[in-house]
Amino acid sequence: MVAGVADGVDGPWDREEIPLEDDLYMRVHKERVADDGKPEAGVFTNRLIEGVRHPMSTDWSRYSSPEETRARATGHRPPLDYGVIRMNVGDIEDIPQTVEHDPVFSAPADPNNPNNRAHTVVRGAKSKKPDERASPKVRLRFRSICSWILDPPGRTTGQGPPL
Amino acid sequence: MSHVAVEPSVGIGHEWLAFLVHGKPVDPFVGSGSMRDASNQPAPWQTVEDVQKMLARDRVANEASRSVVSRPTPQPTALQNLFDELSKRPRRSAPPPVQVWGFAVPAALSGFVDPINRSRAMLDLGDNWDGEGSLGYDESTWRRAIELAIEIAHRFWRNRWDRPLTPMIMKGPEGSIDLLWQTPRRELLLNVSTDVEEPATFYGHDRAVQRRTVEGKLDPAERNEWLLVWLTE
Repeated sequence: MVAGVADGVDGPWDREEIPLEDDLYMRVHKERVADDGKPEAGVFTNRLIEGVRHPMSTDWSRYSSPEETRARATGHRPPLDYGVIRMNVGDIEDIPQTVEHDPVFSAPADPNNPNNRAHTVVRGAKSKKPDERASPKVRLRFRSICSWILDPPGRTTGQGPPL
Repeated sequence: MSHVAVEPSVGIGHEWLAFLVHGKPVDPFVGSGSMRDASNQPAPWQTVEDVQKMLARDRVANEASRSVVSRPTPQPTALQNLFDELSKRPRRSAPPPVQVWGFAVPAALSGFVDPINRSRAMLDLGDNWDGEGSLGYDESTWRRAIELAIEIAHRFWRNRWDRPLTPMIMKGPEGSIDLLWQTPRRELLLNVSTDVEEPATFYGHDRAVQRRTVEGKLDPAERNEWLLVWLTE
């Protein structure tokens, strides 16, 4: 079913299976860069919003570019305050974590939660308590598999090479 | 710091054996290494003067034995060489700890000063400071994390006479604090919760041997310097 035809936006979108060889992109605020240039381990966790834990949000590289991921920053923070990291889906599932395509769509669009076909969530695969924050083990492993694809401000080593 | 080899020609008493067995030479110029002998009594050789007295006693014993049995003049021993070396050094008291934001950082852990100073900036962040819903950071949590890091490092240094690694002090999830130690071979992440009742949680792994890991919870009130021993072995 197509909605929002007047503004040319198609949707809602079906959930899709994400191939292991694809990447996910995630925004990282400039204050989240550690002294060694990598993202702080605290970046990799479920988000606690108003007492409810939400899985980690990312964008699927098939439907988003790194620049688009950065531009989706909300909460009145300028997009240029963020960098973007890249993580391979296969590496994420080896942690182990579960990757689920979760496109966001509403008509009319919600400015606080814009439509996003690329939206993908990452959940703990075998967490004993689904509402727990991610363990040091999981967060350290995420940190080891990520790499910058768009540097945050203040980090001048250039894009990309795995850290 | 090297160990001292013992020459058999020098009369050695029980105290010296303990000194050598434990392999913890006392450096009177660093601080009050409170050494004990094997019977757990305070060792007598706390200062250069103590070393002098014991060597003098040994020399007397050697002189007495030579008068009964003819022996060659003993060569300077490693112990005598150590005494000579220590005597040449200028004497100074242990440097005072460095005061940083209310933390008394032992001089041997001076590498902690910059990370503590830099990490304090997180206390100025309010809720949702990153636009992603992250909570701000409470000073009490920050203090507990740093006190734990200093305690672990200080115990490691006192037991090993090896300067400990300095952790990165990072913003953890939901207002918690992360401490991350790294070596070329291993890394260890320790998380201190906002809840004082919750134990700290940790995970460490070897980059080369993936199955070599440590993981668990710890009580900050207990001795935890073994974490750094594992990290640096």
